[in-house]
Amino acid sequence: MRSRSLALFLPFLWMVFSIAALGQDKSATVAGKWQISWEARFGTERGTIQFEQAESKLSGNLQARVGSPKVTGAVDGNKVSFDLAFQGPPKPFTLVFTGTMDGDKMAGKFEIKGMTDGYDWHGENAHPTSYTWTAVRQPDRSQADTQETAAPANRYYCQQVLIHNLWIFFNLKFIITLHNG
Amino acid sequence: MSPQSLFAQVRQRLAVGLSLFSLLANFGAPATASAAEPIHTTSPIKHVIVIIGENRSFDHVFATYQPKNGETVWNLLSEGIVKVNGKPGPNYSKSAQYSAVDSTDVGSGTYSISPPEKTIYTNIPPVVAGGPTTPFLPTVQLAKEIEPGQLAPGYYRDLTIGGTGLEAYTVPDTRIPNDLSLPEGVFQLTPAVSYNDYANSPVHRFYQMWQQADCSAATSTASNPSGCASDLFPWVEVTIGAGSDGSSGYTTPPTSYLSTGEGSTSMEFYNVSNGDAPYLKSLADNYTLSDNFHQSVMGGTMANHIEFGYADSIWYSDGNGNALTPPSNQIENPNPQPGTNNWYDDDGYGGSGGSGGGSYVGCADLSQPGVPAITNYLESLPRPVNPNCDTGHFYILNNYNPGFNGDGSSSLSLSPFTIPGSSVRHIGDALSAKNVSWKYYGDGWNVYLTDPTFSNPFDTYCNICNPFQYATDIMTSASNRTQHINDSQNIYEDIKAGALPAVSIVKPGWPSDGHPASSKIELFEGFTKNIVTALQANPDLWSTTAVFITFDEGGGYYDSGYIQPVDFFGDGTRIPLLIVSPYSTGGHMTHTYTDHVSITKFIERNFGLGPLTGRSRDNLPNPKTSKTNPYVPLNSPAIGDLFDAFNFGK
Repeated sequence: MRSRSLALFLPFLWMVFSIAALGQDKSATVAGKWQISWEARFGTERGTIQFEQAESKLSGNLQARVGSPKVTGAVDGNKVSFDLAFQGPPKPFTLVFTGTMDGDKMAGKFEIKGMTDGYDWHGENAHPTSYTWTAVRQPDRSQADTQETAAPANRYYCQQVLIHNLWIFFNLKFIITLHNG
Repeated sequence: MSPQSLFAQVRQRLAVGLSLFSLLANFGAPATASAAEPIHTTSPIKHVIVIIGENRSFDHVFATYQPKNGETVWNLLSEGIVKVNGKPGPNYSKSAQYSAVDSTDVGSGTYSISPPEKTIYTNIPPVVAGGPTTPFLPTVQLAKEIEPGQLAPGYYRDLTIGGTGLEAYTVPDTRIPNDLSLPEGVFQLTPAVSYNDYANSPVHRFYQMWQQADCSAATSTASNPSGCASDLFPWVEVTIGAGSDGSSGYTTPPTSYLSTGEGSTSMEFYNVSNGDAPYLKSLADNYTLSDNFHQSVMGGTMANHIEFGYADSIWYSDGNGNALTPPSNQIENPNPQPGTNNWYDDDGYGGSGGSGGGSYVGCADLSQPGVPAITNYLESLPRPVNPNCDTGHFYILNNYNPGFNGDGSSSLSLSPFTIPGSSVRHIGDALSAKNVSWKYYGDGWNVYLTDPTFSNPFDTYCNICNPFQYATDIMTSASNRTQHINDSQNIYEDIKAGALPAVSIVKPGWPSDGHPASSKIELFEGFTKNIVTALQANPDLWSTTAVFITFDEGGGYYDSGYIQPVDFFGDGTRIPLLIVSPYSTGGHMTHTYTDHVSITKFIERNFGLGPLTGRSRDNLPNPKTSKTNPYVPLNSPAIGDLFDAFNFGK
C-alpha cells in the first residue's frame, strides 16, 4: 500500500515542478531589433530599438530623430513594458511604454512619466491625446542572431514539453496499472 | 520756497523737458528694429505686437464688463440678458437656445446652416466635465521648466492647480449648480467653478459654427441684416460635437447629451464685475477694448491664424502653387447621415483606414457637399456677399499640420492631416518687400525644432498657429526661418536689446494660451502681462508701440453680438480685442466692425504696404455706419483698419 502511495505521489510531485519550470520559460523573446512607431500629439514618430534581454529584463537603446535614449524594461509572458529616458531638451523626460507582444509584433499605449498629457487639436475639442504605439521585429542580422539563440531555447522548450508529456503518459499508465491491480 | 523745493522744481521741469524733447525726437523716427533704412509710418506707432490667445468669445469673457467715463458696451449685461451678479436679467430670453432637425428626411435632406423644426429648450443639455482631472503639472518647479520666463511672477502656480476632479468627457460637470436643470440660455460658470479651475471646451469647427450662428436671410432685419440668431450652440454640441469620424472617440451618432463629451459648455460665461479675468479687465479699464472685433473664419485655430497672416484662406496644392483636388476622403461632407439628426457624413480626422479627414472644401462648386447652404445664404442677403472662392481651389477649413517641420524639411510623412506648402502671399512677404522687420515669436519653438511630432512634453509650440510655417518661401529658406521665426523667450531679449522688430506676432504655448480644457484665461493673462510689463519697463520703446491682444476664435462659446458675413469662410462670433498703447488710453470702447484682418489692415496702412493680393480680404473697405448703430456696416462687407481705435492727436 505504501509503495503504491509513493508511486502516485512522486510522479505528481514531478509534474508540479515540471509545470512550474515550464511557466518560468513562458516570457516572450523580445531581444532583437524592432522598428517602433508611436502616435504623438501631432503625428507619427518612428525609430529603431535594439533590445537586449536577460531573462525578464530588457535593455537597449532607441535610434530616432528625437534622440537616442536608453531603454530599460521588462517582459512578463507576452506583456512588455519599457521606458525611453530622453535627455531633453530642455530637461530629461521619460516616455513609459506598455503593451503586448504577438509573434513579431508589439502594440500598446504610452504616457509621459510624472505629467498629465497635453491636448490634441484634431477634434478642436482639446481632448487628451490617445498615445498608442506599435513595433515590428526587423529581419536583420541581429534578429537572425536572435533567432539562432532563440531557436535552441525553443527546441529546449519543445523537448521539455515532450518529456513532460511522456512522463505524464508513463505515470498515468503506471497509476492505471496499479489501480487495475 | 526752500532751496530744496526750488531744486526739486527745477529737477522736475528738467525731467519733463527732457521727456518732451525725447518724445519729439522720437516722433517719426525709424523703428529700432534691425532694418537699416528709416521706416516711414503713417502713425507714431513704430512697433506693432500682436498677442493671440485661444478660444474665448467676447461675451464669454466680458459678459458683465461696465466701461468707464460714459462709454458704452454691447454685452450680456448691457443687453439685459444677465444682471451684474450674473443672474438672468429681464431680457434673458435673448440668449435662449433651440434644438432643430437636420436630417435626410427634412427640407433638402442635406446640410443646413439654419435647420428647421426649432424647439426652444426648457433646459439646455447638462454640461459634461472636461479638462484634466488633476492639473497637467504637479509642481511649480516643473511649471517654470515647461514655460521658462513666459509668465509674470505669481502665475506659475496656476499651472499646478485647478484639476476638475471629474472624469473627463463622460460624466456631468457636477461642480456646476443645477447642471441637470440649467435654464434655456447662458449661465455664469464661476464661482461654483473657480476662475482658476479647468473646464470643458465646446466645438468650434467650420460647419458646426455656421450652424451655431443659425444665419438666415429670412430673418434679416435692419439692425441684424445677416439674420444670424446664434441660438443653436448646445444643439450643435450634442448632435455632432467635434466630429463624426471618431478621432475623439465618437464613431457613432450620439445617444445622449454625454455622447459627444460636451453638453452645453458653449453657454458658460465669466464675470469680470465679480473678479474674473482681472488683468484683462484692468487693461480694458486703462486702454481700449473693442466690442465688435470678430474671428475672421467660422472655425478653429488654424483657419483663423491663416486668415490673419494671409488675409485669405489657403488651399490644397502640389506645394508649388498649383491647385490640386485633395483625396476624396479629405473633403468635408457635413450632410447628415441617413437616420440621424445632424450626424455628418465626413468631418474630422480618421475616416476610412485612418487616412481620411474631411477638412477641405471646393466652395466654388455648388455640387460640393455643404457648399449650397452657405453660398445660397450669402447670395440671398439684402446686400449679397461674394463667397470669394476660386474655381478648382479646395480651401482648408479646419486644423491641418503645416507641410514643413521647423527645420524646413517636409512633414508630409508624419501625418495624413498635413497641407502641402502654400505659395499664397502673406503679410510677411509684404513687410519684407518694404524692408520692414518682422518676427513670429512662438512659445516652445526651440524645443519643437528637435521634436516635430510633439513627443517631448516640454514642447509647448503650436505649429498650426504659425501662419508662416505654412509658407513655402519662409520654410524652405534657412535665413528666412532664422530671421523671422523665433522662440517667444527671444522677445524679452529683443526688447532689452532694442532689437524689437517693427511687427511681432507672439503666440503662447498650449499651457498658457487660454484654451479651455488645456489652459485657462488666467494663464493667458500671466503670459500677456509678462510682455506688457517688459515693454513698459522700456519707456522709449513703449512710447512708440501698440499691442493688440486678442484670441484666435470664440472657441464655440455663445456670443450675443452681430455677425457680418464677408465671404464663404466668415466672419464668426465676436472675440475680445484689447488695444494697449500710449495712444489708446482711458478705458475707451471702440465699436467699429473689425476682424483679424483688421490688424493686418492696420499693419499695411501703418507701414504703407497695400493689400496682399487682388482677392484678399484686406481689400474690403472700412465700415460706414449710421449714427444710431455703430456696429453694423451699411456698406457690408466691410472691416475697419483699427486706426480709429487710437488717438494719435494727443
